[in-house]
Amino acid sequence: MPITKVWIEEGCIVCNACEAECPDVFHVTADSCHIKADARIDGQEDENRSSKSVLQNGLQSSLETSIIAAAVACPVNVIQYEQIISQIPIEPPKIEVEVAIEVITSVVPMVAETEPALAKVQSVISETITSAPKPRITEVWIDEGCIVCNACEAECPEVFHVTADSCHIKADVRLDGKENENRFEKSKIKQVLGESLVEKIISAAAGCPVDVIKYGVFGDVPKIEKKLDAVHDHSPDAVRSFVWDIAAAPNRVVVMPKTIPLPSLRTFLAEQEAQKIADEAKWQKQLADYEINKTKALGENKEPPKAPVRPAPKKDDNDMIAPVPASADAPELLYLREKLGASVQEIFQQSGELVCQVAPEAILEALVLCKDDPALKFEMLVDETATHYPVADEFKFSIVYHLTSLSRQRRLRLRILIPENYDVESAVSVYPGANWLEREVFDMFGIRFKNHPDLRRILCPDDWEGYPLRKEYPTLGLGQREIDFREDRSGVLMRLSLEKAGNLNINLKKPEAN
Amino acid sequence: MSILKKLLPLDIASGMKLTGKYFGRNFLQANRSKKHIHITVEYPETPISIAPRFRGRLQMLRDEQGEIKCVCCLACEKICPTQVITISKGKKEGRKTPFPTRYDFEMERCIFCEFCVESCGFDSIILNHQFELAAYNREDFSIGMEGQFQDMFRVSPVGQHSISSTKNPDSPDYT
Amino acid sequence: MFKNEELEINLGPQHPSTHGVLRVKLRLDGETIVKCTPIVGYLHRGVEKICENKTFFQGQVWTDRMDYVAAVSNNLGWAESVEKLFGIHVPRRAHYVRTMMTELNRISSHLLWLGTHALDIGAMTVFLYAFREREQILDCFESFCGARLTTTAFRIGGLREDIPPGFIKQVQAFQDRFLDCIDEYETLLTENRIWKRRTIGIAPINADECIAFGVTGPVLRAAGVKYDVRKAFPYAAYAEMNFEIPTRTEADTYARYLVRLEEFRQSHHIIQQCIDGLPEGNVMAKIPKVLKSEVNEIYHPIEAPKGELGYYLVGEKGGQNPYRFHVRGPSFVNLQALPQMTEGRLLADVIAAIGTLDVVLGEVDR
Repeated sequence: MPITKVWIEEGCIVCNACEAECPDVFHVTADSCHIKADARIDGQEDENRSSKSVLQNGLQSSLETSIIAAAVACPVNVIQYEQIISQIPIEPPKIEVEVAIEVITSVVPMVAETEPALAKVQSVISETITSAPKPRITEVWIDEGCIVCNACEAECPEVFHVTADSCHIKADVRLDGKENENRFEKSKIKQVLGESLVEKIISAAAGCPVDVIKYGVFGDVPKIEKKLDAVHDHSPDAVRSFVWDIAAAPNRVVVMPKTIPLPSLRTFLAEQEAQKIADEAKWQKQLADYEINKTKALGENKEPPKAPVRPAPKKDDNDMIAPVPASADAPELLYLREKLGASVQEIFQQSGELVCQVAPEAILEALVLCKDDPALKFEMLVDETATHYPVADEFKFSIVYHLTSLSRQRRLRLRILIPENYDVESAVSVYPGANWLEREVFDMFGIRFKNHPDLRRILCPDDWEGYPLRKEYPTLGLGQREIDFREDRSGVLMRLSLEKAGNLNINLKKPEAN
Repeated sequence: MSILKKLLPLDIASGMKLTGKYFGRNFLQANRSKKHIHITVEYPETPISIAPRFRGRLQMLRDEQGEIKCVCCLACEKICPTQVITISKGKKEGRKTPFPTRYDFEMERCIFCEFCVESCGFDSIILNHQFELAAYNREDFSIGMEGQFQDMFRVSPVGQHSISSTKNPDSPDYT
Repeated sequence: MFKNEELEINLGPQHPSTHGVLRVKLRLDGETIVKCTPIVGYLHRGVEKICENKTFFQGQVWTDRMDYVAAVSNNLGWAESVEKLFGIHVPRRAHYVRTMMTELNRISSHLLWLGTHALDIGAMTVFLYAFREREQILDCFESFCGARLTTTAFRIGGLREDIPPGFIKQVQAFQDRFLDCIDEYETLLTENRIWKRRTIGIAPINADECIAFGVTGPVLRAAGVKYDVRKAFPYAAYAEMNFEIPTRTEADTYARYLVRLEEFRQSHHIIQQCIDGLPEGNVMAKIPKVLKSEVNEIYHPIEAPKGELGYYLVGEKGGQNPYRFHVRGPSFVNLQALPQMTEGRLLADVIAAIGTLDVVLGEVDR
């Protein structure tokens, strides 16, 4: 539905929000906001308050959504517009159905034939609804009385952030870029997010136990009922069969990861660098905008806008300092790199632990060196385990060896990255204690070890299907029965079971006292 | 000397002496001295003393007006490691906060970790001192807000003879 | 008259002296063991997989159920591992209370070992004495956290609540009589000629074999290696505690018995230091309601009563649950050494060997 006229009422605070949303129509000067001359038929440039000039024909429908967004984003609501309401006549559905019934004479197919007619009516209605501008949330704030229960962040982590003692609206979604309860500022949220997060924000507000989450809306936002989880689905249609096949189990739940959480100094530094560049670019853009506005204001002898302030890095008030990878300075790691040369892929330290990543072909050599070299003397292999990384391309598993030096009281983690179907050299010849640990890795991940004396499953039975600790192994629904007496409030099941027990002469009732 | 030590079972005798000491003390002094020397108690007749922090069955509380304290923030449902709690949220006339239309608790899976009580910001649930939780039917372990024997507000029938039933479970300060 | 015939028998999984559901396949020549194969996994519940799908807060309840005899130690390991993963700074008072509870738990675990191990070998009286004191410790647990066995004692960042009023008095009452109780066990066992015949020289494993198999705990210390995680890599408040690492060199069942008895005294000493030096202050660090990890992996070892208990955790960026959780159970690794200790020896010694390794099958199978 095209917008014909746009004008700005009294009370504009020259906040620049409208130009940010729709730069083709609005132009903010130092003391007022204008409708651009390019967009208007009469070619003047002012607030359009008295003349109410019509917009250019070509722009009327193409700029519809952005003009509405600008109007909504205006904090003082002075942007007004005129819109042509849809020309498509919407007949009341009742009449359509009556027409359909009149046409059809036979009684039996009547029901069947009315349904398409209804569907047609509904499709007309739904078309008109979808062509209207999208409903969206304009602002979200949190009133007094938040109990910091974390219900909102669970529903909508994009907008809400729960700290130790209060709940904040995130800076990323807000136009003013601050991060607090938004109680007094009532800052608008960004348009794109406002549209995409409608359902999440409303359900977060509905989920708030003390109802302190408030929001401003534009358009008809849908009513959202809170649904029960699928686990608690009590409908009789829910399939509850007893299946042992991993691939075919109907209710299985597989939680596949999305990231590759492999700690590494190299990737950490690369991420830091990318983050720094992005921050710097953002800051430079802010500065450039400021300069343009300033020269504009000076040229018109107006008060220049406020200079932007570079935001300080956020920190929640708590007793946590996240450990980050640091470059290696432990003598063991440097010695290992010196001895093993090119087969050491990476060395770093994190959380006070020494990590050395070696090439998978060189693991046996590294283990022998760690055990026998007098400078290292890691006599004991305390742990060996693996991690599955299904998202990664070059490798699928990491195997870690935790070594301890009893004489020098140091620890070291050796790590190798291996692809699928790669046979690792077994560590049993160096450390006999690796026997059961490698059997467990084989049992849980399906990684085979070369030259292992007894590579059988250890915790699972020998005929077990699949490898349980791989990420694609289902966590729920594999041969699971649902035992549920919750619906038995009227006692039907209990009566039946008592009857059955009575037939079998089993006394299930509690013996009466005296 | 070592031969004598080998011949005479002195090591056995010292053990026998210790056993005899305790036997004599219990045999002669039991039920006579005021000092409590027993470790065991005659359980059903003598009530057991339970620590104030004991974690028994989950129980919902009402406030002074007899109103359910729970406001359905679902914190307990979320934190529960074994997912034994199910809450349905509803509205009630004359009540500002949400009202639980359904609060189901499946005791057969409960592991009594008290995370739910800890997460509750309104002190609307507690783990009471009931420890005799055996039942004859599986249905008895499914406890909800309604039902004849399945009431979240009272001790369940199987536990009625435990010492916790001597206190009034409806009072809000009942712990 | 007798043919040289080998016989294969199963010890367990329902044998009373295998402390759970351990099955040992034995090939016998007469009464001599030719080959010994432990078979585990009857109690496998997939704790690692479960914890990977639970949040960091929820995961703790599963650690209770691994080594159910030493649940407090397992809780400490979990809490400290997650704190290491997130870099949480725990208040000093919480460290002291944790140390005190863990040492009480070490005593209760060793008491259960003493009672059942002596019962397996044939000395029945000690069982009753050991469980008398264990009862008193479990009462302390009950008043501290509300449960006796599956304690869920600590929280990430500290303790749920401060110690209850009268708790120090309760622990001190136990402390006052426990040293005499250790003397009573010694009177019953240490010089007892039957006990000595059943334990001296039985199930030996020397220091080199211990280190090769990764055996830790009292078994390693009885072989003469002075290694204790509490001293080598101090955690909780152990850096401020003054205690000795008891060691023996005989490396047999009797030496392990003496080492564990000496550990009673050292634990008693540590608890007394905790009571005397308990600092004031709060017991909970300020942490957010939702823990979201960064990419990190940690391995955190603690000295559980059975040996080195290590938790390996991998954190995902923004993840509320561990990406990977692995338990290095001391029982699991120590049990590997069972064939080494028993092959070539008598069938009756297998019972003593399983007892002296002090395995808990909940931790072996996880």
